[in-house]
Parts: sequence; structure tokens; C-alpha cells
Amino acid sequence: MAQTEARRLQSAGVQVTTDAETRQVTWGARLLQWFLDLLTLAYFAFALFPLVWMFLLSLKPQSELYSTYFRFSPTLDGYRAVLGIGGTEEIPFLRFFFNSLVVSVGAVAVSLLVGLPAAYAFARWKFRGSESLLFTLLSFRFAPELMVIVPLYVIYQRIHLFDTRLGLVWVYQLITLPLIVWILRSYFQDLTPELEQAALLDGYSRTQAFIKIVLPLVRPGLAAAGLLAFIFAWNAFAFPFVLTGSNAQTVTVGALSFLGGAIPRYNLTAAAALISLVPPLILALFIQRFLVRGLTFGAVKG
Amino acid sequence: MRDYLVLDRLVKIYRPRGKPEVLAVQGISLSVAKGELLGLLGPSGCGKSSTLRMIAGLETVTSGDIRIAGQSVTGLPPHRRNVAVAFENYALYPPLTVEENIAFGLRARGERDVRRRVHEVAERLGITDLLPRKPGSLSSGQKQRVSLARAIVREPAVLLLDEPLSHLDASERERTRRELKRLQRETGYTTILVTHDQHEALTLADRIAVMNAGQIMQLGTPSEVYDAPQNLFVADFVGEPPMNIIPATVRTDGDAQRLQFSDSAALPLPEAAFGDGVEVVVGIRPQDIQVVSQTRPGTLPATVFAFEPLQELSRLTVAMPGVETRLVIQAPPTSSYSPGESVGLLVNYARLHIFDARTGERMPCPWMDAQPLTALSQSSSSATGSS
Repeated sequence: MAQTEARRLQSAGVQVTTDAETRQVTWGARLLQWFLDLLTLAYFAFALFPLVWMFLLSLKPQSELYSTYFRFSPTLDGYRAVLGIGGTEEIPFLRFFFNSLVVSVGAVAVSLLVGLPAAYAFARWKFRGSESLLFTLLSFRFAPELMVIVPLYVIYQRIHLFDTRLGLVWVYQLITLPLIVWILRSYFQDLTPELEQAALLDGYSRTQAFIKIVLPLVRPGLAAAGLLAFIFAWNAFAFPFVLTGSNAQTVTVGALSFLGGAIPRYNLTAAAALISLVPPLILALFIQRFLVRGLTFGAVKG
Repeated sequence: MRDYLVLDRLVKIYRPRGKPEVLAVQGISLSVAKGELLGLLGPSGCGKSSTLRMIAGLETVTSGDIRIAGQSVTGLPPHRRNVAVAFENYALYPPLTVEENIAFGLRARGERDVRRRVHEVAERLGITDLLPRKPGSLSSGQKQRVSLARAIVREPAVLLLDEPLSHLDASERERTRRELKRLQRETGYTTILVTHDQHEALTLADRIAVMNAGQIMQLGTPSEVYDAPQNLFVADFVGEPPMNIIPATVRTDGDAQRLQFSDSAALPLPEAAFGDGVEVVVGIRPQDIQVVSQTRPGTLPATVFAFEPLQELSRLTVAMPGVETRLVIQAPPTSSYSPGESVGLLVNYARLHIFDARTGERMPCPWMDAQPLTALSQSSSSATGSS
């Protein structure tokens, strides 16, 4: 950095420092870099520690749960119990897992279907009430879920959506739709309308221009918004906790139910939590290449 | 064809909800000949872009008519007007190569010979070596040429250029402007050039429509617009550095008449032409004033306020006694003045513009056709050349 700067100044005809001074500057920069690396490492340890602890917990037998030593006899019994392998399944965790998958994927799909055209419209046109509609969507995110959950419970009981996956997909729109609309809207706004206008002049219809020109350009945004929405839906707790019984329960609620018996079984909760970490992780890894392209996208724009 | 593209009392009114309506274009009429390059020049918000977008069909027309080759296109969708736009931001499609970008419109219409035509246009614009590249790796000037290629590859009836040079740096601007001029001459496209840059309009356009607040303030050739601005707006807007504009009162003294700038500053007129006591606004370009010694008779006394020795010219700012508005004068590069110095000003009457202070309209001066009294032949000939 410092060197290139010096070179730039030199080429611009500015008197530049001697070699020794330059080296000193480089040393300073290097020290700063080391310091930053150290800081990153410290944060890394801090952020990862709960995960490590959880991992250790999931490998512990019931009897050693409360010891804080790192020495214990590791066992996979916890995972076996959670997944119901070789023994009776106390809690139908696999079904919860499946519920979570269906509900989260369903919620994101519905949100994309509704949110994509909505975000485009919000970005391109001002219409009656567009601002208030956008704000209403955002307000779903900052209003606490607990505020609406009791009336929702009553309504869901009455219209027979209680403890159904469809009911969850619906209520999850409060979580996923605002995210998708707001993120995609800003992506659409970054695209100059001239791109579509050029396509209109070339003979494309509005719909064709949207599908052929606009959509491919917001793919990184689509990936980012979809992933975020999925993670939020997957991690949702309050809604499934109140609005489901045993049938449509999700992993977040299910993992907790291991603590509900006479003896709290932290090892099983830890194992269940770790297992439920897998789908978002896989999805994130899979989508990552789109996200990275999303970061460099600005460089391509005219 | 004299009336190839006709705008007939074109009106555009934006009606945003809950806000007062905006009269963007207030009934403009023009006709453009086939092969002509017409410049729409004006400050931002003057309605020039709305006009362009209405011609392209990207904006609905509130009232009035647009005709191309005698046919009304007002109700037609953009792609059926045979109009092409080179957009201000180029509107190049990032994932496609330059070649695919240029071919895009042709492909959309299912036309034949796409490859050959793309290569022909690319050759004409000197961008053949750019064809396999992506827009992201091009410079602004290159992008502008690709955008131009994409517009003309369809051989449109009317070519619309939206601020084509505004995002280019100085050297690329010069080059692209020359190329644009050559290309338009060669291909003979009927072209509308929208710009806020008067330099661009003066050098490129066959005729210029100077617009302000949704109306055409003056329509004429670049020299008409520059040498005989019809109103104060055009006088002030066209020209760099801008024209000096000073309010004055006409005073009559027997046969002689003078423009009284203040109690102690007056410019005698070569002929009595106006009513006594008429309030006027005097416009004079910086290159139409000559600085001489104050002792010379018939000069306006002034004091040097600032002197900027620029390389090709020097710029002098002077104050006339009792006049608040300072005069900017272009002086020869060899000259040198210091602040506070007393100088005399000689005005080129042939290039003196007088406007009615009330209406802002140009007032005819009878001596204009006659030989200028204090001729500054050098400055009057260089006036249009320097633009």
C-alpha cells in the first residue's frame, strides 16, 4: 500500500521519501497487519467457543454432563438417541427435521414468488401507498413476534391452521417476505432502468425484459436474500413454539424438548442442535459462490 | 425531406400523487430534416430528456403529436418506432460480450446477417478488437462507442443521443466528439442530441434548440444562437465564460444616446435607437471587450479587480465605478495587469446585445448591420471559432 502510494506520488513528480523511510513505513504497515490478524484470531476463538463447547457436550455421556474437564469418555450415544438409531425414539426428531425443511423451503419459495415481483415494482414505480406498504413490511421485522402470537394462536385454532405445516409457511412470511423484498429492492434499484429501456427499444416486451435482462443480473441478490430468509425461517422459534403441537413441530422447538423430562438431557439437545446446523451450512456453502459474485457485481456495471 | 421528424405542440405533464403537477414540456414544436443533427440544449430539468424519452416512446405523451417520415408514432410502442437511443449510462448488458451486446437488438427482432452487420458497424466505429470483451473491462469512451454501435446497427430512422459525452474525461471527450461528428456526417442519420453542455451542442449540431422550463427559448444554427441570442436566458446560458450581463438605463442627451450603468459609468451608443429612460439589460461577451489605456478617448473607465493569467488567454475581472456587477474580459495571453490598476474599456458595438429588462427579449440595434465603430476584428472573428 505505502509503496504503491509512494510510486504514484513519484510519478506525479512529488518529492518522495528515501528508501529507508519507505521501509520504516512498510514495517509499520506490517505491524498493523499482524495486530489486525491477532484481533481476528481472538474474535474467531470467541465466536467459535460456544460451538466447540456444544460439540463436546454432544459427545458426553449423561453421567459426565456437568463436569467442566475436557477429559471424558466420548460416546455417540447422544446422536443415536436423537436420531432413534438402535433403541426407542423418545422424541420424533427426524420428523421435526423434515418439518423444518418443508416449512423453511416452502416459506422461502412463497416469499420469492411474491417478493420478487413486489420488490421490482417497489424499485421501479411509485404508486399509491408504495411507501407505506414498504414500511408495513419492514414493521413485521421490528415488531416483536410475541406481541402478535397470542391472537395468532386463537385465530389459528379457529381456522384449523394450528399445528399444520401450511400454517407455519404462512406465518413465516412475516419473517421471510420483508427480508426478500427489501434486499431485492435495493438490488433492482442499483440497476439502471436504461438497461430495460434499451431492451424495450430492441423489441422485447416488459416481461421479457424482466426475465432476460433484469433477473440474471440480480441473481446474486436472489441467492443472498434467499439464503438469509432460509436461515431466519430455519431458526424461527417463537412461532413454531406456540403455533404447533406434536405434528408440525420444528427442530428448534424439538431440540429443546429434550430438556423437558425429569432429567434435562443437555447432551441430546446439543446433538440435535448440531444436526440442525447441517442444512443451513450446506446451503450457505452451495450459495457462497453466488454471494462472492454478488460482492464483485458492482465492478461490472456501466 | 425537410420535415422528417416533427414534434407538434408536444406537452408532457407529470402528475405525481399528492404533489403539484410538473409541466415538464410545455408545447414544443420543431421539425428536423432528414440527416440533420439537432441539439437539444438546456440546464437539467428543462425538459430536454423528457422530450427525448417521448420521441423514443419510453414516456407517454400528454398531448401533441410526434411524426417520423410523415407517420404519427405517438401511440406506438418503442420498438415499432424505428428509433434508437444511445443512453447516458450506456446501458450495456454486463454478462454479454461487446459483440453480443451489439447483436442484441438484431437478435431480438430475428434479423438475418447479424454477424456481418455487427462486424461492419464495429469496423466503422473502430471497436473490432473490443468485440470479444465484456463491457466491464472497457473504458468510458469505449463503452460509449459500443453503445453507439448498438444504436446504429439497427439502422434506425432517428438516432437519439442522451448526453453522449457527459461521462467521458476531457481527452476522450474531444476524441469521441470528433468521431461522433464524422460518423454522423458519413452515415447521415437524423439525430437528436440531448446535452447540457453548450460546447458539445455548438460543435456538433446543425441546429440547436435551447430549452428552459419546458419551452424552446431559441431555435437556430450554432452561430445564430451564439451571435444573436434572442433572450437573456440564451445569452446567459450559451457561451463560456458566460456573457457579462449588466442592467442599464437608456439616457438621451440631444441626439446622442447612452447606456447609463451607474451615476459615473455610461457607454455612449453609436445611434439613438431606444426610448429615453427605458430599462435594459446589456450583454457583452468577455472576448468582445478590449482593454486599453484609460487616456484613450471614448473608453469606459474601470478598475482591475482580478487578473488570471491562463495559458492560452488571460482573464481579467474589472469593476466599473458604481456598478455592482463585475465584468469578465478575455485579454491576450501576453498581457499583464495588477489589481487596482485603472484601465479603459473599448466595447465592440457590433457584438453588443441589448435586452428589454422587463421581458428579457432581445431588442434590435440599428447599427448591427453597419460597420462596427470600434472594430475589434480579431475578437469578432474568433468568437465563433473559439467555441
